[in-house]
Amino acid sequence: MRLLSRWAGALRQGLAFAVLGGLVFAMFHVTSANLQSRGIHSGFAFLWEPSRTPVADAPIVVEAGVDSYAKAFAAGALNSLKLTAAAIVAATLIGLVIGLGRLSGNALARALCAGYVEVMRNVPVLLHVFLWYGVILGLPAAAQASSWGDLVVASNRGLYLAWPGVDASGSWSLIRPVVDGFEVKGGVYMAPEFFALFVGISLYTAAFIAEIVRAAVGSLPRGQWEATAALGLPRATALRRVVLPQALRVALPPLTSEYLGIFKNSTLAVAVGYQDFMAISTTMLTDTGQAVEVMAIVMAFYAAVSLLVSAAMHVVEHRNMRWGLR
Amino acid sequence: MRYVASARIEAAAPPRSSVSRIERIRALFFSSPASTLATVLLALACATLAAQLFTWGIRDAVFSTARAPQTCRVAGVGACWAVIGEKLRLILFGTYPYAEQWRPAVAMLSLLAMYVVSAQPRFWNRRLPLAWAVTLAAFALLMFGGVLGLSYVPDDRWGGLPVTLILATLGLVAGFALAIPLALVRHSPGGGIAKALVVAYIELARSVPLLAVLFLASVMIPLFLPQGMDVSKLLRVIIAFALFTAAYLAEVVRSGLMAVPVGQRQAAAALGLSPFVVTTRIVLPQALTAVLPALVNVFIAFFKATSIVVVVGIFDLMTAAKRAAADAQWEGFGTEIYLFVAAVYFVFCYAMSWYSARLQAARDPARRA
Repeated sequence: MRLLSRWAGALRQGLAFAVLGGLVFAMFHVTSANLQSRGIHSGFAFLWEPSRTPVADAPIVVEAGVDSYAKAFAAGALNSLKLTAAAIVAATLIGLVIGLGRLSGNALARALCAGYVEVMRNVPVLLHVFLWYGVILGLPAAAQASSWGDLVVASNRGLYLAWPGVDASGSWSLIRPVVDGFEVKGGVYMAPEFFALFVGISLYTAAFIAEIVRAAVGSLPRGQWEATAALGLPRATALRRVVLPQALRVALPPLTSEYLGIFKNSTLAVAVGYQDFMAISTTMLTDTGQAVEVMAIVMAFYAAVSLLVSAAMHVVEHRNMRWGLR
Repeated sequence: MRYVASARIEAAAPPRSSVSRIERIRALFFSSPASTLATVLLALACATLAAQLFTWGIRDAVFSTARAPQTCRVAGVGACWAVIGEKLRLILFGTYPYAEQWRPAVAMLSLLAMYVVSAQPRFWNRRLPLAWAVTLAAFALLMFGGVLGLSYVPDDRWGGLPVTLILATLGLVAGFALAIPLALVRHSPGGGIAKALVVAYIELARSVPLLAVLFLASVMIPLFLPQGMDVSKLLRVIIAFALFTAAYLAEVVRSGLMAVPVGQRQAAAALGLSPFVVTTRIVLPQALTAVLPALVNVFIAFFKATSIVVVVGIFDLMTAAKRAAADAQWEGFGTEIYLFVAAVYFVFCYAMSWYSARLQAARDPARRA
């Protein structure tokens, strides 16, 4: 009987393998026939050919007809990571403030923060992005741009932020953006598309992070707060040195998935035309027709970053556990 | 002598609060100097914002579609809600033939009615799937037409809210149907190729963006299919959506499976029930009820995520809003349109999250606020 069930198990495994193999083979066969009939040569050789589409607003500038497709991919990847990093920082800060606000002793602050969370998280993130895109495109042109305290110049062409850097005299200082005729000089430039994505994604994700912060801080035993009070620690110190470090341990796994969510949501760049990895890939797909290869690269990029981050966070979690008191 | 109570003793009412109303308000808003300062500053900020919103959105706003958009272009005028009145049919029903738009309206209302019915535990019986099948058939009949004297409308002419709803409904129903076997395989003891494949599938699907999957579907499905076989764009997106949501739902279902005590399965097996019956009649019902609130939260996430189909050219609610905002004659009133659509999404998502919270509270009375 036992032997029989083992045989049955092996048979089932073999069958599953055969079905899968057959499916993959059939798909491969049909796909290659389809590609052949469209005159597309498969393979990754196209990566080294000059790109037909330029990438202007990126840490690496890609010139059309000069730089390779591989370089365009790299520029897109950097843009995706830039957007993700900026949104993670902003969303975490806003989320922390809102989350702590929901635990505040002041009822008005609690209500306002709860309202923020409900309104923000019940609307699609893409809608946030479109709204902010509309807002920035509705701003006046650069010549009549509004500026706030010389720190920000906002126009329908984007945002210029004051940023520390080396000025004309060679020393470090805060470089302020200045309106000069029809353009703005100095400071860090934020394209309207980047601005819309950055603000939209940050404000949306902040609502989820706020809930994580609230749950994490709320999960700590009351005794922790009471002990800090008994020791005479000020509330702010207690929060910073006792409560948040412990809450962070609880919050880390859900925070990781929110951060990965930001990374995945950065692909919404396609909807407003910011040249992130996804947007560059879709242009490349139409440029080269190498659908299978381009989609494979896209999947590999997002899966690799996501899985790497999850793995890294897993390691951090384990370390925390070892150092932890509990 | 008997010590057993002969009558039911009702719980006594809580003692009346000895704290006066003024003291309660003080504790809420003015408990310390810092709290008082926060209350004053926040109240001021709120009042300013509310006043500005009132001025823009109500006092100076244009509501009448007569002579708009000219009246909206006058300097100093606030929100132009007239654009909503003008574009309402486009936003709700897209490019569906104008004279036939009662059809998507009825189809949509029947879907909404089914949502309300399905949310109530007293209707959770064998007739519910049947009712859903009938509703979906009626939806298809109304939307496609081509019979009973209704003119045929291909699915690339559909648009607006019905498309968002059917995308979410079919995507989630199909995704759920797929998620249960995935979760069962992943939860099953022992290894094997099937389990390894399922784990790889779930992890991969959860690590790539939905947008990439949608692109994959709209670009690759035609390549995978033999020549001459074609699938409409809407169906392709629904398939992609179902495959994607299945991975997320499977993880939720799996956590439910883990919550069912192993004794349940053992007891059922001891009664001589077959493994299939044990799974479908004993384990799954308990697992699914345990994770119902979490499932609803996934539903909310994917309802919002349907808006992403705008990038592959499906005419859903979001695309309809974008199209309405792009009308040159009404240029510059995108904010009003997007706010309106945001309100529509909000109503759906808020209703679902309210329902999820209520389920949670019913399950866990101790945590009820």
